[in-house]
Amino acid sequence: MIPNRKADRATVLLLLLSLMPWHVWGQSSAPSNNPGNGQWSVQVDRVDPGAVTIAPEFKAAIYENLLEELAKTKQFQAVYRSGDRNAKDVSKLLVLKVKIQKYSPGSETTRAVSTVSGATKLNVGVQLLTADGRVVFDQVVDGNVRFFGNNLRATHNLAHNVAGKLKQASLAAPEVP
Amino acid sequence: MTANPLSTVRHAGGRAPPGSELAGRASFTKVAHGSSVAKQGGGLPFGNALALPKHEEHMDHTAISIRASLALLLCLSKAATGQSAATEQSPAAKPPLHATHVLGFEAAHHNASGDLGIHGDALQFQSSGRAAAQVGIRAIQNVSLGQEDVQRGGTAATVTKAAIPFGGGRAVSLFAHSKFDALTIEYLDQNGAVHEAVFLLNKGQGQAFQNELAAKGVHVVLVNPTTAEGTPEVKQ
Repeated sequence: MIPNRKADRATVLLLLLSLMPWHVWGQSSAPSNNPGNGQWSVQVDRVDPGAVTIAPEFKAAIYENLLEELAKTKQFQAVYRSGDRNAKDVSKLLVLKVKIQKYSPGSETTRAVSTVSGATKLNVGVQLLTADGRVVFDQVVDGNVRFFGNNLRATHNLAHNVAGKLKQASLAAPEVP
Repeated sequence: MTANPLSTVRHAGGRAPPGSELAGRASFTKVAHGSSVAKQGGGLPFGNALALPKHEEHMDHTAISIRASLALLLCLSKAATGQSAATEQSPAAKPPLHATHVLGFEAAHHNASGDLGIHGDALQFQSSGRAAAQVGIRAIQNVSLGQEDVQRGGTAATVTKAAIPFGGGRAVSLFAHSKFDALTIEYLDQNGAVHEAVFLLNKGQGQAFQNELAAKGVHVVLVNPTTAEGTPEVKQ
């Protein structure tokens, strides 16, 4: 009788473990892939519109959403705004620069009526630079709204994607003086 | 004695009698009067009555009634002055505008509705049931105006549209959207850090508010209106 009970318990435990979502395991192992990122702090620069004419509320929303999304990832020790005097004393500081490359305003009404058109599209170049100007991250990231949500939702999606790409990237650990 | 609006007057008859009510108090009173008052009771209509030493009680009552009436007069005149000042100030203070804070304004929730206005030297956003968030006008670097096309009704409207059969929700979408003025404000906090806040206001109100800020010395960034309306894709 006793061996049977043990076997039952083991079966139940195995069943429970198999039911656990795989992303739980993935999350716990994610920081180990990227050990150096936690030591950096980041300062988000103002969004550079480049040669693209972009609505001011989009520019503002990209900047503010980036600050929020980067803080959410907890990848960096601190996230500073552009011009923040507190960032001057930080030695291990990266500067995040965002430059708009493509922008299609779209229309929420058109999206709601036609479904297939009226998408708001954003395409930006993202760079992370060290204090001495060395580029440690350089990628192009998209942020779109195709079906649901207002136009400014594209900026939130963009910031979310940027934060995701930065999390995946393996940044070199800061040099200890 | 020189002419003084609040001239100091000694009661007629010099000092108050030792046993009277006025003896223990200061023998001076202030009256709203344009000139010095006659010392012998000539200046006041009750002068003769006050001067009579035989009717001390009557004199006391009269003096008290004079004081009371003058004090009442003074209070009424001050109240009237205050009312006129308030009436003069009211046209200058504009009522706050109803706005939706999209993001970026410190101490205010995202997509919170409230009143946006200028109070003295500060831009203030007051959402219902929360403390007002404000920033000094001097801290504002730039203000710009755009347009946003937003669906009214939020999630409830989206669900309702989805529930309408035969694609009727799409037709509803044509009427469920409205254009709003998107007011973008760039300001610096105490550490010099840049904040960028976006507010949605009813169409037409944004321009008036921008002008109001410009009158206070805020730099206005002019935006090409066609970009907010939806131009073809712009490439670098």
